Amino acid sequence: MVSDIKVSIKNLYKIFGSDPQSVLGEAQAGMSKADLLETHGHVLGLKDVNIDIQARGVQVIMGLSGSGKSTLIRHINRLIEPTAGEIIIDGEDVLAMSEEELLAFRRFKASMVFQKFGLLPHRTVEDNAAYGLTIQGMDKAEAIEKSSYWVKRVGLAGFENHYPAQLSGGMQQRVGLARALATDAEILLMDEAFSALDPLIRTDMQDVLLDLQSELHKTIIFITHDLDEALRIGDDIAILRDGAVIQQGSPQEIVLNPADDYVRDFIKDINRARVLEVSSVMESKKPRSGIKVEKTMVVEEALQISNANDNKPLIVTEDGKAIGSVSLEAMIAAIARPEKDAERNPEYR
Amino acid sequence: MITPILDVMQTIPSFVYLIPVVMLLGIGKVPGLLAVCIYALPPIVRLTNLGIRLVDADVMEAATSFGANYKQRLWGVQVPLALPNIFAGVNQTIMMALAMVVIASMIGVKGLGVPVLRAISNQYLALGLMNGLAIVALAIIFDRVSQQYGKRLQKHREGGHGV
Ligand SMILES: Nc1ncnc2c1ncn2[C@@H]1O[C@H](COP(=O)(O)OP(=O)(O)OP(=O)(O)O)[C@@H](O)[C@H]1O
Ligand SMILES: [Mg+2]
Repeated sequence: MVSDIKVSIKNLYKIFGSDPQSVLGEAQAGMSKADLLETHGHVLGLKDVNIDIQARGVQVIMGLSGSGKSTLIRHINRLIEPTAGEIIIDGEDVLAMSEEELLAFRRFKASMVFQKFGLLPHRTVEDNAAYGLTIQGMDKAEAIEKSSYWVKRVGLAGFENHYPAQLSGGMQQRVGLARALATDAEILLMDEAFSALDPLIRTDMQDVLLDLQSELHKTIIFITHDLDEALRIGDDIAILRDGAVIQQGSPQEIVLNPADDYVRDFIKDINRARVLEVSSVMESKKPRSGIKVEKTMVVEEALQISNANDNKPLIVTEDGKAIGSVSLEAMIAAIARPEKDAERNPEYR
Repeated sequence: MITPILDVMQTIPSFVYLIPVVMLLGIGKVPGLLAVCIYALPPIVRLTNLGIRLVDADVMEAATSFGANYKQRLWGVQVPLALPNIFAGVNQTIMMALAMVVIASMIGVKGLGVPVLRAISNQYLALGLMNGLAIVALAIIFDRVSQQYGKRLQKHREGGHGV
């Protein structure tokens, strides 16, 4: 069977310092980031990272500042060379690519959106959006014509001849997004693309992205340190700490079964009702009567429906067939913030 | 590697290299030009170098991520973004070249330097002053023209609030 895995990262290590190879062995043997820095003066950027990224989905990579997110995403298009490990994209080893192949890969296959936008200040909006295409070798007029579609799609019609300095941050990032989309690359790398924007604009941009994704189905690798953002747009979330992946799973899994206190800290302030779906809190018994709700409905909505119907249990359905039920009590219990020291997952301690 | 050469070019008194230049090439326009180049080129080299180094690393990274090769990065990003510094260099170079006209006239280059040189050796105050002022006027014209041209190349800096 052809697997649907687009990007596969295997045993990836990145060590910053004067002689990374010399300390690789010790890092592979499990030396911690702090120890490595203290004893050898090298920074452990990434530690045995293994992630399989599904095609046509949004893979979020999350972690606090310094956890190695930017380092990781830059390995995918080899802006950073790994110390050890493999990166396989569509069955092809990115690390084995020649200079030429790598240029072609960056031009046609993966494009990137940056936290600080990285726009060319001396080029207008339309020229910036066409940048990737001109780098591909396309004639300038043709490139501008082709990219003007994306300029309009991100909502910048009328600003084609403005320079980046004349735009607000949100608009500049729209240019960044248009530039990345214009090359038709299948993989979109976004390094904290919306982190520099204020909350309202950020939500706007998330909407723009989700809207585009629902029709483009690109493989998006999205970095953020904001869990609300991660939950909102991620199909799958990987959480990094000190360069290591400590948990990977769907938003539901992460909220329901945080792997350790680090993850628990991340999720403690989120609105669980807006994340959890009824299928995650349902019981298998199926009452004969009741209001039917789709299994992907979030608890917040289900609570309202239940409340409007004398707090009766709801029937959870999949494709119209009943698969279980949720009671008001179960839903309320699920959205209560868990105690930090709850003994729910002793195996992780 | 190039910095020590530039240091020498800038600090060595111009009369010192006039001697071998004249010995090798004789008297005339070519050695004059060479002397002017030795004296006036360092600022433009230095400032171009500085300007390219100062180009925003984020912008360079973005260009690289889209698959720009060395040439595309140099001409599409580094040189355009280094223009303010390159133009400062052009300016300096022009000014210093003009400062050389009097010295160049000593090795047989004709032009405004000749009457100045004569004025100096004969203590003709008015002649020296008039020709000196003419050189200044030239310098001002070149300066304004080159600055204006530089500005025109950097239209995007107008009315923005910095990127
Ligand atoms: N060029 C470098 N040389 C040395 N250390 C580096 C280098 N780049 C990154 N690091 C280190 O690697 C670690 C991970 O950095 P990285 O920039 O990937 O973090 P991040 O998760 O993207 O953080 P942020 O949220 O602040 O962007 C940090 O400890 C950082 O100091
Ligand atoms: Mg980062």
